[in-house]
Amino acid sequence: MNILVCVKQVPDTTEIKINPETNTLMREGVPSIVNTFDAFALEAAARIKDKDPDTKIVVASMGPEQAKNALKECLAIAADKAYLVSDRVFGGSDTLATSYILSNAVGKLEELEGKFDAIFCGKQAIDGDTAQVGPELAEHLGLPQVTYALEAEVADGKLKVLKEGQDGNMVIGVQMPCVVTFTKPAFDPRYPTIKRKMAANRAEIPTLTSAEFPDIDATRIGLKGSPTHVKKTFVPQKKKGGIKIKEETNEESACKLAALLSDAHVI
Amino acid sequence: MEFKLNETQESIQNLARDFAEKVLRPRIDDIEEVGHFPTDIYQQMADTGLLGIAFDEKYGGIGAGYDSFVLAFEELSKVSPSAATALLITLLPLEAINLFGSEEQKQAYIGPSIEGKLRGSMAFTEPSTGSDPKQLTTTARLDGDTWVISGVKRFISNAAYAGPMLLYAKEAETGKCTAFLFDKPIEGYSTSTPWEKVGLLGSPCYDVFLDEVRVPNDDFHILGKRGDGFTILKATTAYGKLGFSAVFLGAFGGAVNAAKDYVTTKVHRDSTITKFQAIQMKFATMLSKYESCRYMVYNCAETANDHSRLEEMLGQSALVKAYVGDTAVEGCVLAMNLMGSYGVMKEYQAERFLRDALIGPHVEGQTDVQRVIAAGYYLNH
Repeated sequence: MNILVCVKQVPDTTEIKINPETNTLMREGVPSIVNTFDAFALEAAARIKDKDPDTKIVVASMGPEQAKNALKECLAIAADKAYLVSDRVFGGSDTLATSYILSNAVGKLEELEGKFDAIFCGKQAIDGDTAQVGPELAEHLGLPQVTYALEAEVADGKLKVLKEGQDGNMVIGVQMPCVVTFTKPAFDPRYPTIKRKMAANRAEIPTLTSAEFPDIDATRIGLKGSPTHVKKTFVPQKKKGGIKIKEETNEESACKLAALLSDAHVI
Repeated sequence: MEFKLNETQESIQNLARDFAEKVLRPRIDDIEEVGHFPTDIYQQMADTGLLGIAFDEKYGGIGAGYDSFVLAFEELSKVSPSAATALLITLLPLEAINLFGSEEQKQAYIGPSIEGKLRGSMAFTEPSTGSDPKQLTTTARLDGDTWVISGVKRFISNAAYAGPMLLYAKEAETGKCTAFLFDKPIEGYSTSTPWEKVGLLGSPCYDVFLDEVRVPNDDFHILGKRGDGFTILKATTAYGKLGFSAVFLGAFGGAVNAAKDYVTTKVHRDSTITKFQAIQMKFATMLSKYESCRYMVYNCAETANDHSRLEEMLGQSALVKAYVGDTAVEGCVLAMNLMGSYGVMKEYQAERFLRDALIGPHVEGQTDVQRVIAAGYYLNH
């Protein structure tokens, strides 16, 4: 089994503060992390490897040089190999251009690492929240896709995916190769070990530039190749949080309300 | 003199800090309330490699030295001193085996223990003696090719888990103190219910009853040579004192963080109480104590890395443990005072760090004994 996991380095949104004057995000000094949903995708790949130790996990990230830190984090957790996809001409790419570049990167990575049986992505990045790159990547590659996956395992030559749905979960069998995007499962991703972390610190991570993809269509990448543009970034007005209490009886609802108010030291 | 952490040290420090925040903090109530350390977290800490930081890679360790070890244990203890102590207890007999053991003993115990499969104990203290080997009443009598050990050991952590037991007993015929090594549990071995302590609630300790425990008379079941018990004890506890100093340093650090969180968010007339000089002065006083503890612990860790400096380590570790043990208590009280009435409330954490720190002056040799040991070394060097 050969799995590619696509990851993005994102600012840790729990650490981000708002500039009260400009109403914009203050990213300076904010630590960068592996996108939370991508970490779930990596964990899903790691669980497949737990059952079949011959599984190879390759991670790739498109981004600036510092995204290598996110890739090193993935190496520390479970990945066997890591590649950065980076070039100035890729800068400013929207989701369509990004997924197009990644689809070209998949071709190059398959030359280097062999054909992938599955490509795992997070369902969306926690900074952009578009949830488009994974499905678009599947379309560019002409592969079947499963979104909102919780778990995945190999069974009878297919990938058996537990998928979250609006009315309940579904188990889907999908032929490989395929693309699967992951949402939050019931378990926490594993933690890196010190040994892997130290090995990851020393790891050399190759960078794939546009020169590696001679057939790429230059009109479909970067800012110029992106049909969508961000016009404005702003912080939405904070809605007041609320809790809906609806127990079986009014008396039980009143008791729950009293307990919540008491816990909050209001009464 | 190098004060900047190297890549390995920084990496292990960050990993331990992150682990403590993500894994330990959400489970603090479990750790404090169940009366023993939750097995799943212990295994997760072992899987992460936290038990193997200072041990040689040959035995499954990381080989990153005691400098990285103290940095990691400080970070774990800033969130849960109990968690760090649960690991440290396992390490105590391993340190002895690492320093004095045969290759066979090292292979048998170090790897499996740092993988979390075995949880060893070290047993010296008895109801009638604290640190004086001459007062040991647990005896080992030779009966043919077997040692027969009888007695009672007190305040023994990990006693109820399977793993190596490093037990100091007086040989009946010679009166010498010898370090015996055997697997617990074993026939004739039993434990009391756990003692109820003021702090470190996730790391319970027991009395151990030895009723004619039979141990083969061979090289594997004796650490070092017969009669070396007190020498082994002194060296091993020196490393134990360093480990506990890192734990209580971390407890102090946890209280510092709790106090800092409080004073930087508590508002008085539209701005935080950090505007008051009384707060600033208390905070700086607390911080100066913390910084002095940190550098003493880090410096001692450098000494610990070099086994040829063992004699220095005996004196230095005693000095450090005495100072950090006492100062962490003072520092936690200062932190609580900075937080006003909130300081004594459980939700605000400082009281837990104080309760844990209160163990410091008493564990691994009481503070006054440490001062005497330290004076004994430094007056002659």
